[in-house]
Amino acid sequence: MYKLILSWRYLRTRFIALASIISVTLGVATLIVVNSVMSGFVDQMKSRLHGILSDVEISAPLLGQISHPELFVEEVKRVVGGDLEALTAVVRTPAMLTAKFHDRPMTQQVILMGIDDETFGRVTDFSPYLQNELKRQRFSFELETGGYKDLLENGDDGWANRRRWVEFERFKERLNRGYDDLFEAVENQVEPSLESTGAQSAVADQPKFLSPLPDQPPQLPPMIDDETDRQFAGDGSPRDIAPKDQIADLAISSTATQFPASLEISPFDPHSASRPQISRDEMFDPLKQQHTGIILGVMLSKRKSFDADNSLIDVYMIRPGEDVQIMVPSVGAHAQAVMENCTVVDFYSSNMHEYDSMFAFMPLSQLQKLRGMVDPLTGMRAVSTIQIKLKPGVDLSEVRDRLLHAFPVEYYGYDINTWLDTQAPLLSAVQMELKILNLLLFMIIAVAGFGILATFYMIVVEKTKDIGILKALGAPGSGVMSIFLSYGLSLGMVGTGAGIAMGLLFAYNINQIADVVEWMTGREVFDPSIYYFSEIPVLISPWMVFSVALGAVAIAVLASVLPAMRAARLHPVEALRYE
Amino acid sequence: MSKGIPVPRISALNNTSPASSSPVSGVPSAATTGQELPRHKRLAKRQNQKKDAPSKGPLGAQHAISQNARPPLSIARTSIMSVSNLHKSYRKSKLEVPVLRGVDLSIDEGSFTAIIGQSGSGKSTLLHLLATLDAPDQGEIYFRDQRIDNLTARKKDRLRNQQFGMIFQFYHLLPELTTLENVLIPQMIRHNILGYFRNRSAYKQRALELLEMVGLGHRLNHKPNQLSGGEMQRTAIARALIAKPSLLLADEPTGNLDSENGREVMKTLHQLRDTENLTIVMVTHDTQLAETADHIVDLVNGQVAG
Repeated sequence: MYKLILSWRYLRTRFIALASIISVTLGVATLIVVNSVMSGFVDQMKSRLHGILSDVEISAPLLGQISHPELFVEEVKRVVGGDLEALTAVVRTPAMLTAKFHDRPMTQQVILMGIDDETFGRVTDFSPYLQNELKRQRFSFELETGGYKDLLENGDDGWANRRRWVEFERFKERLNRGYDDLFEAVENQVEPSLESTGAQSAVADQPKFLSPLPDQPPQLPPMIDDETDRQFAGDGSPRDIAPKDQIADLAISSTATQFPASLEISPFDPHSASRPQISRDEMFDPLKQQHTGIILGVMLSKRKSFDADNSLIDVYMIRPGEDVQIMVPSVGAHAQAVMENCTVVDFYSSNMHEYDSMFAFMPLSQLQKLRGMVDPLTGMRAVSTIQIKLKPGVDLSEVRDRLLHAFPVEYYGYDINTWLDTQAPLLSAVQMELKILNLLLFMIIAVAGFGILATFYMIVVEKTKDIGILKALGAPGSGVMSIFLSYGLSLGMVGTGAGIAMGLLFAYNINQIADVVEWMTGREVFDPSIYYFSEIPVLISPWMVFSVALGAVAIAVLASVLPAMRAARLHPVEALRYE
Repeated sequence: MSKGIPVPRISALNNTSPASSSPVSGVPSAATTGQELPRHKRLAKRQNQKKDAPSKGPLGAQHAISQNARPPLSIARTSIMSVSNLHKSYRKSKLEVPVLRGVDLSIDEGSFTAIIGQSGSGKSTLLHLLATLDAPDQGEIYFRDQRIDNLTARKKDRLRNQQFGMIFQFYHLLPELTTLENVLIPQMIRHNILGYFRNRSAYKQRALELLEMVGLGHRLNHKPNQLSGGEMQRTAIARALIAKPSLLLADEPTGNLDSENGREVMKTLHQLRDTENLTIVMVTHDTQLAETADHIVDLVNGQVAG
């Protein structure tokens, strides 16, 4: 009883001890804030890293393939059993992406994923990171008529942008052709034809991207599908989709290129439209039709720039609705580069720079066809990778090991990894960082512990006479000790409680605090362009708060043990004599 | 334990006193007592002591107590505490300073004994030994026929808490507590939280009565630094009495008080002796004060002077 009263009274009257506990408060607050931010960071990063990585992945080596995916998938399903949530087959291949920017080809290296739009979204967090809001709800590889709000300057209609783009391309082509004709004529000492000057004047009269042939089909449609299942996909032949051809098709006077010396320039010659390649199907009209849809990582298109006010803006070099070309290696021993025209239908933005600048997605069937992964005899479609999503809570490594046993690498040669394996270097680096931070910060609290020890020693010295009195009145040494232990405990709890309150307050409002600091110092505290996140992520785990609090209180109590023992051992007569 | 002694408090104390349950017998072990003394001599003394303890033995008459002029009040006088051949010395670095060199003493139940002596004569040390605050180097201390100087620390603590009341020259109140709480402290020490809370109103009642008795009924919630010296000492007296002790040990209770307050305190002590049959042992260097006691023990050079 007296222990409680006395430790309570000491708590209320000895402010120097409270001062010593402030270091515990600060230590606890720092630990909570740092841990919250770090685990928020790790959590966000994990979910982003996990984004298009499935839980477990079985992949054939580069340019290899899993030839009988149906059978293989059945076997995988059998092995994984009840832990399986969803499963999808994808084709993953390195590819070259070429887009035209200001008439110059801009080529970037990408990893092209052929995905099944039905099942891929079930296995990975793909659709939440799409930029088009309509696609986020209902995924497809079709160009949308809306939802591209942030990506387009004029409205959010992808098809409108496509029409603008096609018309502008045509206009540029016409312009070039006009100049070409002019130059050729000059070169050949021949007066330019009426038509070409007419074309030139038409260009001059109509600068507004209007095609002079709004109703005419192009003479040489670039894409005619030899297969049947998709309207406008290429047949995999690089010849047909060569950019030169396309440009020629869109040109006003294509024949001029083919027959430069001839004066018979007849851009509207109906016969030129009936070349043998163009045959059975309706002709491809880029104003109304799209090529195979492709979704690009946003960083393949987005660049930073400055506007007139010298503030940072995002510039998109490729926009939805525009066409790009991809070049992929075909499978097999004699890999060849095959090309395909694609229409950009959306961007993927996970804010993970590695992913956003690396990945492009197109329909699985198109990519299979393009790379020659369809068996000409059986029609069996090979894939390169099986992605597996497991039920929540299932141990990924355990399933991976099961799969490794079922498909030994010696025989199959497939890589079987969990997404954590794939990202292990980054994750373990972050975990290591977190551990060391925690260690260092706990040392702060340990330092505070020594502060408490010193303060308590002083208090025991100050209270020597009182200890003598208590002992003279019959208080046992253990009782005297417990006064100081409970004093230490209550100080620790006060300090820790204040620290928790402070830490949580700080952690919950960290972004506002960052703003205030930014405003005060004029320097950016958190630069979203460096990190993966637009604001500082925070994840407060009750268990973390609890263990930090427990640790801090334990340190406060431990620090009071030595002084308390000294108090317990004081000789009453000497203590009473002490002045 | 002398059960036949007609002291009203004893039966109540028998149950709780650690001395009553103590296995300490009349025969001391050679290991714990008087190493320097030859065994036969020690035993002889011991037997003497034991035989004479209930009455006023030859030891007391022989050495310790010089009878005061005033006759004892009690009819049947029994010794409540006795010491024999008490030695105590302090070590300062390598130098051993003997303080007590063979003190024999017997204190009667209900008596007022004053221990006087020069500064450094060992009177405070003797009182500390009696109060079991310190352990003698040699010799034995008996409280109600039970040896107490070799008890475990725990039992000594309980003895101090329940049987002895103590008053000091510098009052020794706890500065963080109010008058009332200071008085209640021994009860708080004695009982655990639950036990204290169950009877707290009774304890508080008792404390209030005691404070009323010493004339501090109006100063209950003052801290010691708001009290005068006399008030503090009276608070200390109330604290010493809260556990209804059988022995009050006072170490120069008036030493730090002016004569007016000193007289007040002495009056209170005498009153207690008379009304509550409290045995009082008071250490003082003031011979005038000592004159008012029943017995005077004069310590000279660590021994009781004739």
